[in-house]
Amino acid sequence: MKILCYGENSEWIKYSRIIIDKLGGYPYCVTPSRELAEESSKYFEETYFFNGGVYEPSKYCRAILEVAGRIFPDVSLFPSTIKGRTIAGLYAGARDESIITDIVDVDHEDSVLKLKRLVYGGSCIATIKSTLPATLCITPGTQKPPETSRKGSIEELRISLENRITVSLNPRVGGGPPLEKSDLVVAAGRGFKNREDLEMVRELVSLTVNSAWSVTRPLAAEYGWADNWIGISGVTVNPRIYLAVGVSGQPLHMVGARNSKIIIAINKDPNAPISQEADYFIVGDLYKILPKLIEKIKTTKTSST
Amino acid sequence: MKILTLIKLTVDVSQLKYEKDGSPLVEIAPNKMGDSDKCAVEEAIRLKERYGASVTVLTVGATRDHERIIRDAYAMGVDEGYIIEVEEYQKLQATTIGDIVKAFVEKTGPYDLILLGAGSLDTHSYTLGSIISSKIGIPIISSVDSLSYNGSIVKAESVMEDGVYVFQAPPPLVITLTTEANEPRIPTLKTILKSKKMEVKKLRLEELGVKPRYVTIEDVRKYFVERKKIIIDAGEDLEKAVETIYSILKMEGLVK
Amino acid sequence: MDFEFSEDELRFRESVREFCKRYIEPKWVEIDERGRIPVDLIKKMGEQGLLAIPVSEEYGGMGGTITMAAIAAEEIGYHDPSVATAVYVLLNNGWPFLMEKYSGEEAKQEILPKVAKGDAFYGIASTESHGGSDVAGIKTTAVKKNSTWILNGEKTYISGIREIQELPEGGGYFLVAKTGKPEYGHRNITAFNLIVKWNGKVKAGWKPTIFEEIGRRGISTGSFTLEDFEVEDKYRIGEENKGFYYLMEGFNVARILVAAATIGSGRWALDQAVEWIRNRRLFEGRSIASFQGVSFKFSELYSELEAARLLTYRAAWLADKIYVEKDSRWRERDLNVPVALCKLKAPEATSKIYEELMKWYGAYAYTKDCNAFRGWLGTFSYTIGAEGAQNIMRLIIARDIIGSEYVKG
Repeated sequence: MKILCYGENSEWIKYSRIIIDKLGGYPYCVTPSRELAEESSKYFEETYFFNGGVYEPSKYCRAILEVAGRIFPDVSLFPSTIKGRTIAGLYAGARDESIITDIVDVDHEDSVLKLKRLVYGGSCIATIKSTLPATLCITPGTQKPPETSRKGSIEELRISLENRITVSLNPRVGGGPPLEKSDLVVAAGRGFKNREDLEMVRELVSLTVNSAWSVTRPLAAEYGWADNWIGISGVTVNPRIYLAVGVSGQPLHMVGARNSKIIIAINKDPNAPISQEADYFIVGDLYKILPKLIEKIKTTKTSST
Repeated sequence: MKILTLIKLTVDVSQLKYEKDGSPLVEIAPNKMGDSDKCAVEEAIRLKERYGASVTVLTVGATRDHERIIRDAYAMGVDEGYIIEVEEYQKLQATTIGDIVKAFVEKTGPYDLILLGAGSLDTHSYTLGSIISSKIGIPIISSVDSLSYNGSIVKAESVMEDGVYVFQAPPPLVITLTTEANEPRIPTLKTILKSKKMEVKKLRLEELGVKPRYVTIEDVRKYFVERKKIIIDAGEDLEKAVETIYSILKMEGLVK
Repeated sequence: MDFEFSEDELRFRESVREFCKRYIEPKWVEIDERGRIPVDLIKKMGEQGLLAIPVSEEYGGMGGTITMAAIAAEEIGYHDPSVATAVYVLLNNGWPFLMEKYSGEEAKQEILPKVAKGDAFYGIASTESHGGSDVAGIKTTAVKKNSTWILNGEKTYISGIREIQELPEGGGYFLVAKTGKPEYGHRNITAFNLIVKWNGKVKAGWKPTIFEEIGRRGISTGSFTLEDFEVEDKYRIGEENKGFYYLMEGFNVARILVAAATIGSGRWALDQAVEWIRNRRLFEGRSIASFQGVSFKFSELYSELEAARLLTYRAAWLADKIYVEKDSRWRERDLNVPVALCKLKAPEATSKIYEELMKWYGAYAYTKDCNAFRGWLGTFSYTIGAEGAQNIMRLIIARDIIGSEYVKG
């Protein structure tokens, strides 16, 4: 089996190698820069790159199709991100092959792929069979293959990247990472009595790395305390730690948080439904616990510097 | 200006119920027009109001609910609507829907803009727009959070993890919109009563010359993650509770 | 027999629901807490076409039906379970509808479009301090001098007193006053369009007072006195001395909408109850829904609300037959019993739901963190008398079924 991967970024390049090993195939990678090609060559036998400049899906797709036209891949892998999916759709459309997105697990029997993907807003998992060739968009994970000293081949693609669409990028400045990309998400629920009390949450976020905060639906939609909320009609997050403070854990909220690696909940009601969905369930008053936690982080920080 | 808007009948995920074995009761869950598709309809109607465009909507399926969402679009101000009748519409491969749209455009087009939602909550793939773009051969701008048009150039902004992308191009274009793009109008009783006499047109796959391909779904189950469920009573031992949270944050390298 | 809503009705319900989710649900607690429906929300409801639904399009209405007005009242009652917003909407649907039926052309042209747009309020002023149930005993008088009526008297427990003062145009009431000798009883009552503020100016002779209420606080209630208040004859509603009959017709329509509003609130309470009893765990993690004492009680409450809902839409259906389709098989008075049935049943079913919901919540329900009390107090108003006392409903039913000659009023 020949597998072609679109190497969008270095974390995905590493993770995709784990997927490739699981499928057991010969790996090719296409990256949109020389730097990424260097990274890719540590994990892929053959890497192609093009100088993509600012992302624009059709020109990126043209480069990947160029490689596909040479190697005839059985499986093509893309990260299931906004950019990855857009390019993958163009690619699968051009090749007229089936495309499956939001894949969380891959397997195969002979030449039939068995894929698990999230559906219904992440509340269900579906098992899908697909024949080859296929385009797969995989939800990026954080696992990495072991480092090797191997160095695969690198080849620059010389193709025209002319385009009818002009594009510019205003890079994100400050403001912390978006919720979906945060490693720590602090969620505030109805346990908070006043809007001003959310200051504790903001302070906790300012003291931690790659973190962001949000609320449950009533706090945003009914009280207007925040612009977004976590849950089925709001944002779905997948942080390493989900800290739910004063959140009861209604199913529609939990759907947005279920992908979290570790869930910690603080709630004064020992019977709150979130007790069934937390790794660590702290029964107590958030107004006592949060100030203590903030103080602990602050004092440990000063004593260690 | 001619605009084609694609709308999908989606399961209202917030009202999904389950069998005891965890399989979702999709058949009895309420259906509605996809949220981001509705934003696409809204965007098309705004263009119609400003530039006098004609707006056509298209959906694929064969239930009464499909007719209902076409009428929902009529009540918002759409001019004509088509249903491509496919019984097992839920299992169609995204590339087949691309073939359907291509054949439909050849029959009724060309269109200056093809607008659709970026994705739906149910069995979304977020790829239909780009599949169509490939098949028809007109460029795509995807996941647009804000759209403007000055009569010759479309300007579209899309917020992604590394910043805000600004795309500019003249029509024809395929554009997929997120629910951030606008706040769709709510039909009034007057527009509802006015639209009820409008005809919903229907086409069969054979009339479009499309051979369907289907997805093979083996199983769908409620997604459940087993948690540790360690309980710490902060009322008894506040120190221990705080220490637990702190050490987990520290272990994951998240404390500054 | 057909229990289905039409496709238009379903789509209309969906549109009202979306409107409510966007503009009412996020504000309902604040509406109750502050005792005020924001003027811009009233304006938005006008733009959305939620006021004057059954009024003809030529007067700025929607050309809709009583059933559609009931659908709007129910959905708004669900999303503002204190029912304040629903009461604003139902008053400005029911009474403009009746006013259109009997008023002169000039008054209709002048008043209705502004009410439909949400720039003016139009409600009902009938109750006086001796008691609202005894309409025939009202003491407010109207005396005709040339082409003007001079009104004197006092009305109390009247909705919309503050809204009229705050809305840009103002507004007024469907008012009844005595126009003949008291001994003629209900046969000497005439109805008027009593416009107390218009083009932004309060008229001379109207003195309002606002009461502090315990529930559905978003819509104001108060009283006013009329001192030599002048009403031109063109604002008279229908024929002289027939006002009592028009008023009864108006009550029939308004009571259907009140029932629908309380049912909306009751549905909200039931939804809260389902969430709670499913997820509340006691005694080693058993969901309280697993106790039959809870689940059977729930089923009972659910059936009562469903029964009330069916009665309500049956009455709305009949009202449409009579007023919209003008089906000659029925007359206006045929509505009396169906309306009394739904007005009797709906607020009581809702009150019972709130009472039980609050017991299931336990101590939480007794704190202001829990919003159930807002729905409870709001809908309770219709159990204790507003828009017709429950015993009046019983009397209407008894007189019709057992016979007036046996039942003393």
